[in-house]
Amino acid sequence: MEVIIKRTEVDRLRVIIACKEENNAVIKLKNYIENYDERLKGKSEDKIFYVNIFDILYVEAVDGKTFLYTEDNYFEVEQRLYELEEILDNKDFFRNSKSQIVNINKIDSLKPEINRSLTITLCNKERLTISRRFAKSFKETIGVLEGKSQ
Amino acid sequence: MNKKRGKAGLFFQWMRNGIAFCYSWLLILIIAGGYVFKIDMVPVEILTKVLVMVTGMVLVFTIFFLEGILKKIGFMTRLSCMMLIAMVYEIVCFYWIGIFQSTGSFFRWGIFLGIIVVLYSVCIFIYYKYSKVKGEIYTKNLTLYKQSRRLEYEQNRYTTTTDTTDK
Repeated sequence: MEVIIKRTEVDRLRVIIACKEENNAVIKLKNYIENYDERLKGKSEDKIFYVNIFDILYVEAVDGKTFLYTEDNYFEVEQRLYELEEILDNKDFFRNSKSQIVNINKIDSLKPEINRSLTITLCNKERLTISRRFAKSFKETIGVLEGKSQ
Repeated sequence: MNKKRGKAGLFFQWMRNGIAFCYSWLLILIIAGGYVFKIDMVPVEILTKVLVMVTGMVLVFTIFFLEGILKKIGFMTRLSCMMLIAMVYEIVCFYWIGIFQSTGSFFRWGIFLGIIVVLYSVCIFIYYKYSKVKGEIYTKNLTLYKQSRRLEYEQNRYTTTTDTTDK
């Protein structure tokens, strides 16, 4: 891949992807660039908002729709959960169950449960569960278990 | 190969420690019981049978709780299965040793089951407390992880590289 930076008189930053065909890698790159400013487009009460990624507590898929939750609001987004999983940095966001992605930076505390899942308390005191299936990988991420951590 | 040998070594280590610990305690109890009930001697046959019972119990415990033997089972399932098997094994051993004779009374079976239930509850309580400590360790690790991420982010923010190819 060739990276070219051109200086122009125009104030607005413009990125052009020159490619032969629009394959997965190109779409991924496009998504990455689109989210470079670290905001996601969300809808709340028919109004469009741009939500800063760092403000997201968690993302949840409910009845085929995807919602972003912040401390004081929630927004419906166009992307599916798996698309957001690709967009969001996996060092900051973690798939905690089949229908949720949580912002690791917003977790206040962790508690292991008797069924090997983990209960997480977010900074707004809301509680979510890291299911048994994802708990091991989460422990590896934060360095509790030896493995592919960080 | 080494890993397998390590696990086998750990298995025998658990067996040795478990047998030594449980048998010592049972001997102390037998001696204390003998002192209280004025029994001067304990037959070797009883001591051998107790050793067999202890070995079986430790084996059941090791199978259920040594990491790597039964991998995909949670704590509650392990504990419940172990308790059930241990209970049946104990009943058989108690009849064999002679502690239990005939069908017994409702009251005696009640005491036996009561002891098992109390032990079960104590195990759950200890595990609950242990989980709390584990939770604190996880939270501490999480805080360190968050700090490292913040630091990484700050560094990335202020060191930008410009890769310019002019063609």
